[in-house]
Amino acid sequence: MTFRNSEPDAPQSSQTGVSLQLDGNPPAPRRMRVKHLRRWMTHAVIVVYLSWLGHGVFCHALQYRVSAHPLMYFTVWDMFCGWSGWSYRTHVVAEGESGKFYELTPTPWGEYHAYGNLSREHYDNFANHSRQIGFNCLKQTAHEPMTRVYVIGETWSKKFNLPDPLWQRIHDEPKQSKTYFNVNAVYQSDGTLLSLRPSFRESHQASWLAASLQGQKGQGRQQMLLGSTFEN
Amino acid sequence: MDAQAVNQSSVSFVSSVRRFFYTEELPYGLAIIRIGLPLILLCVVIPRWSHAREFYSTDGATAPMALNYGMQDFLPEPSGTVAVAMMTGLIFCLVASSIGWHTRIALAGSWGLYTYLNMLDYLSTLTKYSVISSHVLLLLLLSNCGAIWSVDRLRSRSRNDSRGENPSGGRSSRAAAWPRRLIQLFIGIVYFGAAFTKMHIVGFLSGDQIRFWLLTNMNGPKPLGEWLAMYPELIITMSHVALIWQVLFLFLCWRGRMRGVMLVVGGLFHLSTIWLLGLAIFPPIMLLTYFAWLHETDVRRIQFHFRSLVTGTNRNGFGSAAERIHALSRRLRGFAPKIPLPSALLFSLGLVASVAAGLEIEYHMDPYGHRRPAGPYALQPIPETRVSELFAKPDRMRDEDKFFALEMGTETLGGVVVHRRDTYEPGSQVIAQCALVPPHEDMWVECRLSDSYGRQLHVFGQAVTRDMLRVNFTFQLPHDLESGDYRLTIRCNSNDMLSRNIRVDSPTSVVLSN
Repeated sequence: MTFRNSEPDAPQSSQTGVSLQLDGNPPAPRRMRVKHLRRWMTHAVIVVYLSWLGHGVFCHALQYRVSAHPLMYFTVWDMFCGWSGWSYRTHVVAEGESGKFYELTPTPWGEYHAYGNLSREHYDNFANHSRQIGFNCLKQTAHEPMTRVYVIGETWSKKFNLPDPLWQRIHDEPKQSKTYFNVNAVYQSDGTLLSLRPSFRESHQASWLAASLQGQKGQGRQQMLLGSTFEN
Repeated sequence: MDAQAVNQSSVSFVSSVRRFFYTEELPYGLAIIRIGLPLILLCVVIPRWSHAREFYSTDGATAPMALNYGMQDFLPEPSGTVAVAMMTGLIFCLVASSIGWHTRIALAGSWGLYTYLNMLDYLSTLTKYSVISSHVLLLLLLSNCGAIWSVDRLRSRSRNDSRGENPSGGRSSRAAAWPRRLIQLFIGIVYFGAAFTKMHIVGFLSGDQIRFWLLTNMNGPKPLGEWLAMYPELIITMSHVALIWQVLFLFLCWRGRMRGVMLVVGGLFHLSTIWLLGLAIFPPIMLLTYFAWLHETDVRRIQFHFRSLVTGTNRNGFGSAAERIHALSRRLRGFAPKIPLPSALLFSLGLVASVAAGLEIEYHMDPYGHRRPAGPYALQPIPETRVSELFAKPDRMRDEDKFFALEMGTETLGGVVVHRRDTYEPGSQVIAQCALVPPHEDMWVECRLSDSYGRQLHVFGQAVTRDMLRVNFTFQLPHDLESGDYRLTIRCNSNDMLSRNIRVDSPTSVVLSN
């Protein structure tokens, strides 16, 4: 169905046969319908998109279901949401049947530095992916049969990241950095989790809490918390 | 208020919203973002291409972001070959998006591949700047950004020229402003959300969070980062300004002088993160998105100034450059129809050829070394000393690791010592502030003042609970204190943690020495 212009000399579109207005624009209802449909689709896109962004801000502001779904990462703007006074690094080490140990990170085919001068395992703050990196290294390399794979955390106080000239400006004492190592997870050669332990920082926080709750009795509990909390 | 007034106000609101989203304009700002964003992303994507098999495929070690949300198989993981093909296709699509060749298809490919591959590598690919890029690519995909300054534009003009049709100038390139408006709203909402993060964090407004971030070596080099960590009062001031700016941006960035103020503060903020936090990609992406505020009238104004310069004072410089650009544009237009293949076919062939080339190159690169003459890489055993270091029995945290620095002065601002001094007069007030490194347990901390012979003159003690990030010892030096060198020492568990020398000079001795 087309509306035809009542003017007998109205220009006609050569391809569609749709009548044109005097200003040259096609007023045909099909085109109008398409135009209306596009306009309403545009309305919908704007409303849906802004609602999605608004939902993210609302959830983030009220701390409501911010981890409910991976897509929340696309609408929750939690840049620099966490911080620590400690620097962390991750090492993945395998133990062979001969009793020798092998470092699986950095990988022997070369490491990629994504943001600074660190390879990717050091960005695994929650230790969710280090196992995968270690076992991929075992899969792609030649080696003796392995018995265990260890994920080890390395930690030091960030105050020692100060360059020496700046250190000397605010400290009279020499810079004596100390690095702590802590086995965070142990896996069997087939990937089965054998032991999962709190990080260095978590184990200390737990031990301080236990000590303050139980007084002298906490010393025993302290030792336990510094060991493993999950054994398979 | 009567019904008519209510009706009028609602009509005016609707018409304002309609004007805001649907005013037709030439997409200058979006075209700049379309050209620039893929180029920035190429700086990220090309270096990762040779690691595609390792980062994004079942033949490597993916780090799916969904795993952090407790979802095991949220997205399918491609095989190694498919991952390399996708990564190569992404590079092709980003290049095509930047030059505006089949812009919408290229942007769709860029957006889909970039977002998907990002979600497979939480560790070294997915960050907030990649999420922001995904949003902007999506909005560009929905826009008419390829209508100007693009191969598509050259092609359409060439078609019009060959048909003898009069090109309609900018009229056919005009489109509703809503994609540009959505990018503006998106950036404002990002800042607004980031402001909520800052409000939630204990230690942001006190400067402690930023101070420790400035000392974090996870990003690139940051020549000013550690230096700024020495001045917590500056950090506190900047943290407050950043928070206020992020809250206000969404409401004040639209018109008038405040638009300029908001954008200039934002520009300075993002530029500063390059030198303070070592960010390399985030700032250029955010600065590029500010072109969403570039309105057609701004471009006209710039063109007017450019033309007045050309026709006025500096014809030789700008004039000849403009003529050269115009001539180049004419030449490019003439070049397009000479290609004997349809553009869509050429685009498809280019995509297929680049993917095939990418697969071939990656095969010969042999990232895992499986086809090396020496065979796969062999793991080398690590020395015993290193094994003992890695598997040493966990030590208890040293007390000195919990004490960041001792700073002394006479005033505090925002909770930190300002007006730092090492020399005091007898009877003056001293604030000794000990900054702490979290976490720490509840502690009893002492501050001791001793003379140059080590004789203890005063001791002040304070309980420090686990939530405290600083502890202040405020005391007055005795009026009869002799001039000389003294030492302030912070002690915990009967051990010295931090110490600083101070000098006490009576006014008379200062006069005498002068």
